[in-house]
Amino acid sequence: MSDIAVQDLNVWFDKNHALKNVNITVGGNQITAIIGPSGCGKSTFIRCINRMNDLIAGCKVEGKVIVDGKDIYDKDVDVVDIRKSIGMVFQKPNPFPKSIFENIAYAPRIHGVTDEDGNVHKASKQELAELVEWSLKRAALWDEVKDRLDKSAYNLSGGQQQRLCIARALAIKPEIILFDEPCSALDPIATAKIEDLLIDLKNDYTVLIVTHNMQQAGRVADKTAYFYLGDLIEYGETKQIFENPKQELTEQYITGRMG
Amino acid sequence: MVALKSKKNNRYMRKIFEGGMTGLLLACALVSVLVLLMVFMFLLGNSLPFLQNNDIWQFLTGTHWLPFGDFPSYGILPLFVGTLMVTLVASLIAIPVGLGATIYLSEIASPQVRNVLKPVIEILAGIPSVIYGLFAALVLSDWIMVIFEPNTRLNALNGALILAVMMIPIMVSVAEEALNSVPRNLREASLALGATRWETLKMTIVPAALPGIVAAIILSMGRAVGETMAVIMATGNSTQFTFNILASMRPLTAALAIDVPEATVGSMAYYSLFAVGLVLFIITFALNLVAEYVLARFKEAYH
Repeated sequence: MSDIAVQDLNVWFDKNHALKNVNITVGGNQITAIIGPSGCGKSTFIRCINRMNDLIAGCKVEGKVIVDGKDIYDKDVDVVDIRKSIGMVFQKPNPFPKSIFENIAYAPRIHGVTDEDGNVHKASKQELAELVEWSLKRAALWDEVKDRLDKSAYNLSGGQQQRLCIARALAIKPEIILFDEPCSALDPIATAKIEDLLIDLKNDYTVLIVTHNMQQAGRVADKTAYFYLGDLIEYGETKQIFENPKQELTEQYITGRMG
Repeated sequence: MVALKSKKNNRYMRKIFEGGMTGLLLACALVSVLVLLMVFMFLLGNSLPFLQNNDIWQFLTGTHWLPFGDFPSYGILPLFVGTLMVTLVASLIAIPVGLGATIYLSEIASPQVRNVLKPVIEILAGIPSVIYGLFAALVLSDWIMVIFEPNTRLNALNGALILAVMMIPIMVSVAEEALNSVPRNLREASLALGATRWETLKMTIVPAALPGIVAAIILSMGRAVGETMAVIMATGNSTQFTFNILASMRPLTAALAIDVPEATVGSMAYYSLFAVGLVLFIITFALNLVAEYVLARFKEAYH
């Protein structure tokens, strides 16, 4: 699975210097949690990895984000190709106002599917159905929705909607999946289901998760990065960050004296 | 004690004030409903003498509109066809242009371009219709003469074109509202899946905003049906029964405006004009109801 190497990353929103000289290497087949108080730049950081910040007027990015040996901010890189290979799940579940099936089939309909020889062709009905089933099973939602794939995604509960959004991201067959506070709008039971899913997904994907919830980082993440005011303060094994932080600032946050 | 008492007094006064304000605002709201009812009753009441003494079927399907003279004929079909032709042709032109402008404004234009274009389009909505009529009668008609060589300088096409220009600002402002109210996170969802801006527009934003777009179209059609001054000045006002877009026509609104001053109060012609007004009222009312219904369903989808 893909490693992500971030080098000297700086981000500005107009005059606001949101990320300052961030250097970090995120490994594959593990979960990396990004924690820190509000406004520390953790969402900005994760949105740099699939270039979602490009959409914001006044945003300037400097530095390199190297995925599979290729800098995604290189001039000859097509941003659409980047987003096709990196899945993203947002803070609030955001299914399309379409059926459950069409939500999952959305991206494959646009991009087509790749056969064994690496050729892209238009997805057939059969292929779409298989892909939808595979994605929903992978997101642990299949059993709950298999009888109502043609019903609106808006009829699902918040937790189911979020798993639908995960399935939708899986359907593009990414190597990396970015989670931007995926549980902040969910109740504890729905949160637990998503966390189980995250742990299951790390076998096949590189997983990054931004979270407000330190316990969540402690439960799911192999590695944890602590951001404060746009600086990466500390990055290491989750256990070490929580039990034996090297930086004073990290310790203050972990122990609840700040944030 | 004194302080307590004044506080109590204050509360009492506040209650009266709040109650009074509520009542005042309710009265304001009721006035508009009341006016609508009164207009309807006024139209209905004055059309009754006509509707009771004439064949309604003849009124709706007759092809001669000659309310005055010794042998009057009250067929509004030519007027109705006039309204229909002018509105339909205007819509055929205004819908693609208006929606194109909307999509450009809300999805493509840079903030700088939008800040110039939006006020310009809004000013278009504020120009008095008589100015549009003047332009149609004196300038547009010349162009049509050169291009289509019609038999009459003032014709339905002339009216339709100027109505199209008048429909566009209404359509743009309502439809743009609809596109903007598509939640931002749906856009992000689509773009994050690797869809381009066009694919996102086509597959997510336009379908999600469709009810609002339909309402925008219907509202602007209502505007076209109800427009009077510009069509009087543009269409030539002949009451002939024809579907030829290059012929002179008299839509319902124009018939009312032209014939009301001629009619003797209390005559059958006078009452027949109220019946025409009633028909017009029902058409625009129905269009507005449809638009309201579509918009209401649109709102449900996101709450």
